[in-house]
Amino acid sequence: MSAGVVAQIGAGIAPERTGRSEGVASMAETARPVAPGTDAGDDDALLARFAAGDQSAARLLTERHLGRVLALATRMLRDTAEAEDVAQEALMRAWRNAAKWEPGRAKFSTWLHKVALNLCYDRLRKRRSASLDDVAEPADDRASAQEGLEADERLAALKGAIETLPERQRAAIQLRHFEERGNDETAEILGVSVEAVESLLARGRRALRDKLAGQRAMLMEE
Amino acid sequence: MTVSDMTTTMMTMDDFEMRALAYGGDVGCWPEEDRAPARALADASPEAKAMLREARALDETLDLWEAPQPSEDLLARVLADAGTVAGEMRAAAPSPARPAPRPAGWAVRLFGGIGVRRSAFALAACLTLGFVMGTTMEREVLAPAPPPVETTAAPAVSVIDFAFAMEDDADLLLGDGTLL
Repeated sequence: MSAGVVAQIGAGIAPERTGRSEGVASMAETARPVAPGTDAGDDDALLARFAAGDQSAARLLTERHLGRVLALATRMLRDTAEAEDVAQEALMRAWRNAAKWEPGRAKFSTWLHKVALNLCYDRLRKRRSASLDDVAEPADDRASAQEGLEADERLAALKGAIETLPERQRAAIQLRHFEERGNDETAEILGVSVEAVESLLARGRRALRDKLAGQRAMLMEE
Repeated sequence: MTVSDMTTTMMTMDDFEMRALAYGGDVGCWPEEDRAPARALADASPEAKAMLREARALDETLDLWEAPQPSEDLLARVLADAGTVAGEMRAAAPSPARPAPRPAGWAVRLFGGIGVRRSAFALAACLTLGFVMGTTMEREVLAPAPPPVETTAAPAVSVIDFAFAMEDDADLLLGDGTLL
């Protein structure tokens, strides 16, 4: 994974934004890039502080986790508005459960991603059950890919290919590749065994490789 | 052969391909126990090297997909939610052990804004002062005065005087007892 991607995932908040509200401004000013292995003990302490009435703890927790939860939801759903709703709802559940949180029993980051992922699954299932006419069509990756295999087109092809993957393969790639989570934590979030994580990753990436290679071959022929 | 060498030789090409597919082209991202045997196999096998190259190409394509930063609106919404929940928790929390204010009674109505405690204190002070003054006055004013020392001899003097007076009166008596 590139350093840029790691920094982007971890940073969470862009401090250079302008025109923000007062609350957002103070949040951005205190933003710190957070490495994937955020100290779980700190999260537990922050949750306890929030439960005791300290709202600055909520701000710190949001700084740490919102960016990554949003990234997970965005890549799962490929819809910014829906991804934002999922991220907001996941954190809302964190606030509501803060008083009941048991330090050391689970890692907050793992719990939060599990909540977000389940919300994504719910939305994907609703999409499937909805009329096809009501579902926003994904970008025509084939059409854009025909213009060449530059970065934008490769990205569009990738997004199209990932969307065809089964949910859990998609989630496994998201957690392992983009978030650099270990097999144990990925397994816990997905609710599967570590062996199953490796299998999900291998099948998902093989499917991606084959789809992208197929597109490349078609483009070469044309 | 060392244990490390034995471990290195235990990774088959199928295992290597499975790991490359699952974890990508950077062996440093593989499970720790697989790294040494994988590096040894990649050094020895052009086929394994090709698998890593192919996996790296997919990694680079995946890295093109950068997720969006949280918008200002989303940040504000999340913080507003936290504020709402914090308010609900405060409202639901049991109030601290402080007696509930009692309804205004006669003392409050009587003393108005001075406060019941101050009023009660003032009333108690008045009663105490009244009691002290009352008992003092009772002793000094209302109680029967002790008989003066000189009055104790008065009866004796009076009896003598009375006796002389009787004699005088006897002198004044006539024979038939009538008093002149």
